[in-house]
Amino acid sequence: MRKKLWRTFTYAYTKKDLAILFGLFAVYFVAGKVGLSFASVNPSASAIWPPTGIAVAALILLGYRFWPAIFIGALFLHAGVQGTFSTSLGIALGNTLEPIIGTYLTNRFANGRKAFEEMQSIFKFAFFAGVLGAGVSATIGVTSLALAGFVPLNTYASVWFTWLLGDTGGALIVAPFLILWAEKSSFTLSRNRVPEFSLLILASLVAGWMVFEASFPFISLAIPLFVWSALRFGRRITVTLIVFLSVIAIISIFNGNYMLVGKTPNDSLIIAQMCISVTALTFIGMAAIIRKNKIMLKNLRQEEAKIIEAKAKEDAILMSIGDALVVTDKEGAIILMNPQAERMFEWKLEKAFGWPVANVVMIEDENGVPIEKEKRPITLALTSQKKITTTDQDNLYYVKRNGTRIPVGLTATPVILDNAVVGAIALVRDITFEKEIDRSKNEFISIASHQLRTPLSSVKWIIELLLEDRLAETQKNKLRDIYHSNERLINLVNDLLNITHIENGTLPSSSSPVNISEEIQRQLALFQETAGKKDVAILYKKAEGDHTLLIDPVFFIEPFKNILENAITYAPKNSKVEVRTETTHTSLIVTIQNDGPAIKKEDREKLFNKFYRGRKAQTIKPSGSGLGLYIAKLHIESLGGSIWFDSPLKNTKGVAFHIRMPMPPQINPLRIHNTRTVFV
Amino acid sequence: MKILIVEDEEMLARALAEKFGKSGFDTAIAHTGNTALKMAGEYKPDVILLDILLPGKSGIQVLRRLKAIKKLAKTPVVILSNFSQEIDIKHALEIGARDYIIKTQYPLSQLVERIKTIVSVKQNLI
Repeated sequence: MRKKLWRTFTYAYTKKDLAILFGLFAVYFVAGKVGLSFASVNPSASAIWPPTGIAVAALILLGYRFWPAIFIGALFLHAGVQGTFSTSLGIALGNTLEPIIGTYLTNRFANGRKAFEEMQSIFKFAFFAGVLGAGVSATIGVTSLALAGFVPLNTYASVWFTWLLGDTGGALIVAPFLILWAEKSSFTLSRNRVPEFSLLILASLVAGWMVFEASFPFISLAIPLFVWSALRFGRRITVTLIVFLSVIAIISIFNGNYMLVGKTPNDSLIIAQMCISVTALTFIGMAAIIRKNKIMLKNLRQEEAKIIEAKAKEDAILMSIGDALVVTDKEGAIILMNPQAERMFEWKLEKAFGWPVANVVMIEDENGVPIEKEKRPITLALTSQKKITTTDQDNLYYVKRNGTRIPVGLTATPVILDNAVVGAIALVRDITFEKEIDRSKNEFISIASHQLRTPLSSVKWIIELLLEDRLAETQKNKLRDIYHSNERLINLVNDLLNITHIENGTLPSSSSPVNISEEIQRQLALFQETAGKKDVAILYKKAEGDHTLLIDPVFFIEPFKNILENAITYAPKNSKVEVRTETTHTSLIVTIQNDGPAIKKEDREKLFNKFYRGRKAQTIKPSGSGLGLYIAKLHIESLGGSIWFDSPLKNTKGVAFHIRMPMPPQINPLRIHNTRTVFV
Repeated sequence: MKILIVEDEEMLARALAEKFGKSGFDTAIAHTGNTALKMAGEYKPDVILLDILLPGKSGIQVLRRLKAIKKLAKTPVVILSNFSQEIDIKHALEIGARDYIIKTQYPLSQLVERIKTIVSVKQNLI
C-alpha cells in the first residue's frame, strides 16, 4: 500500500492521464452537484450521493493515481456550499480517503474488479466501500463541519447518518453499475431472446411510470423485475434496472409523489436508500450466483462432452483392435467384448454379458480335453494377479458353437486398482495361420533332413560293406577317408537339424535329475584316452555340496563335451586342462581351462556365431563345422543359463570357458517344446 | 532267421540284404507298402525292417495294418528311417513298432546286432 501510494505521489502523468483526471473531476463534480440538490438535513450532507460510487469505481478500474481528481472535485464541490476552506479541505480529505480505503480493501480481500462475481466478495465490497469507507468520509466530513460550528452537536447523529447512507447508496448502486459495464466481455443477446428482453424493458418502463405517476409501491413492482432480470439476463442488466428504477423512485420521493414510512422527505430518502441498497446487494448477488451456476453447468457440459468424446475414441480403439478382446469383472463374468471376439466366439455381447467366459466358450488342449475352469488363463490371471501369456506351443484351442476348433494364443492381464483385482482383460489371437506355418516349417525340416540323410546312409553302408571285402590296404584307407568325410556330413546335417529345432522352439526335451558333478566325472573319464595321447592331464576341482539339477541331461552334456574337447584339442602337449565347479546363491558355474594360446582379438566377438571358425581352429582342427559353440550356447540358454570365456587370463596363460546354470533351473519357455508358458 | 526288408531306395535295400545275408539271415525285399503286406503274409518273416517313406502306402500305414492282422501282429517290426522328429518316433512306437532306428546313426554291423537281439527276445518269448 505504501509503495503504491508513494507511486501515486511520484507518478508522472501522461497526457492521457491528465485528460482522464479532468474527465473524472468533471463527472464527480456534476454528480456531486446533483447529489447535493437532495440535501435537506444539512447543505453538505445528502442522502443521495453518487460521487462515492463514481470514485470507488474509478480507483478500482483506473488505479489509485487518479485520486487527485476526487480530492479536487470534492474540494470545489463543498467550498461552494458552506463552511471555510479548512472544512472543505477536511471534507475533501474524507471524501478522498473513502474510495482509497474501499478500493484497497476490495482489491486486497474481495478480488478487486471481480468483486461482483461471487456472493462472498459482493458482501465484502459492500462492507469495505459502503460501510468502512463511507464511515470514514462521514466521520471526517461531519466532524470538520461540527468543529467549525456548521453542524450543531444535537444534529451530529442525523447528519452523520444521512452522510453515511448517502455514500453507502452511492457505493452499492453506482459502483457496481460502472464496474460491471466496464468488464471486457461484451453483452450479447441472442435473437430468440430479444422479445423477452423487450418485454422486460417495457415492464420496467411501465413499473417506472407506475411508481412515478401512480405512486405504486416500489418494492412490490421492482422485485419481480429484478428476479426476472437476474435469472434471465445477468448482472449488468439487473444492476442497470436497479439504477433506473432507483432513480425513478428517488425523484418521486423528492417530488413528494409518494412518501415512504418517514416523517420527512430526508427520512423517506434514507429509508429508500437503505431498501434500494439492500435490494441491489441481494439481486446482484443472486445474478452472480446464477452466473456462476451457468458457468459451472457449461463447464460440466463441456467436460461431459469431452468424456463422451474420449469414451467414443476409447470404444473406437477397442473395437478396432485386430485381435479378439474380452474384458471381465473380478468374478470372470464378461462385461465387454469387441466385434472380433463376438465373431470368434459366435456370441453377441448383449447375450454374453454377465456370463462367465467358461460358459461362453470352451477351451481344449491338443487332444480335445477341456481345460478346467481354474486352469483357464483368465481365471489364472485373476487369482494370481499376474499376466498370463500362452503361445502356439501351449496348443490351446477355442471350441466354437458349431463345434469347430481354432488354435489360439492368448494374453490375460489382471486389472488392479488400489491393490485389488477388479477384473481382467484378455486378448485372443487366432493362430491358425501361425500353426500352419509351423507345421509347414516342421514338415520342410523333416523332409529336407530325410532327403539329405538318405544318400548319406547309402554311402555309409556301402562303404562299410566294401571295407569287409578283400581289398588292398591302400584301397581300404581311401574308403575309410570317404567314410569319415561322410560321417562329417552326417554330423553337419544333425547339427543343422538341431539348430533349427532349437531356434524354432521345437527341440524335444525331457527333464530328469542330473548330478552335474557325477556327469562331469563320467565325461572326463571318456576323454582320458584322447588327452593321454597328448600327455594332457585333466584335473577336476569340485565345489562342495550336491549339485543335482532337474534338466534335460543333453542340454548340459553336449555343451560340456564340446568345450572339454576343444580345451584338450587346443592344449599344448604336456600341459593340463582344469575343470572346476563353484556355486553362488543362485547359480552353479562350471569352468574348463587349459594352458593353450589366447583367443585372438578378432575371433573373440564371433566365437559363438554360427559357422564361425578362427584361423587357429582351422589349422589345428580342420574338420570342425563351426557349429559346436553356437549349439552349446543355445542349449545352455535354454536352461536359463549363460556361457562365456576369458581370454587372455590374468597372471597366467590359457583360455577359460564358463558355463553358468541357474539353481533352480529357469527353463526358457521360448526354447523348449512342450513347456506351458505361464506367469510372465 | 528270416527278415523282410521294406525299403524303396534300391541301393539301401541291396546293402541291407547283403549285410543281413552275410550275417546268416534269409532276406526278402519289398519296395512298396502293398508288396510288403503281401510278402509278409506269404514269406512269414521273423522280423520286418520297415522304412517310413514308401510309394503308395506309408510305413506307418503298413505298420498299423500288420498289427491288425492276427497272424502277423506278433512279428517284430523295426522302423528304419531317416525321419528323426520326436513326434514320428513316438507315433511309431505307440502303434507297435519294436524299435525306431535312424539310418545315419547306425553302422550296419550294429544294426545287425540290434535285430538279432530283438529276434532272440521274440524267440525266447515263444
